[in-house]
Amino acid sequence: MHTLTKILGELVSLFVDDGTLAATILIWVAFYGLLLQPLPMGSWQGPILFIGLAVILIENTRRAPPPYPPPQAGEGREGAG
Amino acid sequence: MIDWVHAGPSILAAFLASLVEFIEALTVVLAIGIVRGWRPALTGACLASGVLLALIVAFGPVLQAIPLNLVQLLVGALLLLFGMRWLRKAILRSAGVIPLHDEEAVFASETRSLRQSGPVAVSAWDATAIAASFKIVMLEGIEVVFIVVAIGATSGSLAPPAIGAGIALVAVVLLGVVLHRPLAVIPENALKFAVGVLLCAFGTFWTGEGIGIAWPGEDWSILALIAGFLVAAGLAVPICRARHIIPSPAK
Repeated sequence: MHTLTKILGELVSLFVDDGTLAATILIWVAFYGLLLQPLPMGSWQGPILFIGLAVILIENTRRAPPPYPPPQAGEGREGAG
Repeated sequence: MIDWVHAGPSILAAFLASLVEFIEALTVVLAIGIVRGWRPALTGACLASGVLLALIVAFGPVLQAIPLNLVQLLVGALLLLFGMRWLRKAILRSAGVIPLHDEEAVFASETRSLRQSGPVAVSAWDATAIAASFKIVMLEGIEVVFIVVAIGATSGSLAPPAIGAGIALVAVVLLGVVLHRPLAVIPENALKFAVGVLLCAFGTFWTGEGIGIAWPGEDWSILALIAGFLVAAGLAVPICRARHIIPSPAK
């Protein structure tokens, strides 16, 4: 059971490094596929999907907490969450 | 007959991604070979390669038998997650938020750890070395298998990504044999940046195809997506760097 959990963990870590990033991508794709895609957007369908993903990437990296150098005493970790 | 215009991006993506993974595996296999002997290092690597080859043979045709739009949506979403993970890490490394991957440091650390893990076996069956070599080749190789199978399944042929991965394997093995040291001079983060961009572009394209988007210019949209992700990632680096500047303490 422990080995199976470990293998599953390794498999998941192939695709998920930051849970927030993975969840936001999936929510955006689902939202797009279910709600936006049926709307008449003509040739803007693809670019809108891309713009959403690009914004998610930029915002996620902007918010990433710095794992190094370690915060000095009295300083919080900037950008967490 | 391979259509090189369409196969080119698949070969390039598989080549670059595989190159990064094989370089990481080579570093550890070299450390095992130098400290514990070449026979167990190569035995573990060959065993893992056999298992990985079996996975490609097993999963490649299975995915190609599933309806294309379902495969495109599923594999496209996974490729998108995979590519975004790589690109995020490459952006954070470029911005100095997380440290760069240092093959020399990994090599030194693996060598130290292997020397401390007990005496070298007198017989050829050095279980510690074989297991270590098997594990690293499996861990890095499974990512190569995913890329080859995913690109192959969605583009309709396993041949182009398999060719790309094969060229990368031969190149890394040859360099390893010639140099006998980790390939630290390869700009690994730049490679990861490029691979992340390519995988994100493929992932977005196929996810879009899977949910029924009609891409302008069809397959040529992949080139526009590559350019788009390159610009987005290029923008993210200075934004991220500016955000994470740690002010020097006031004197």
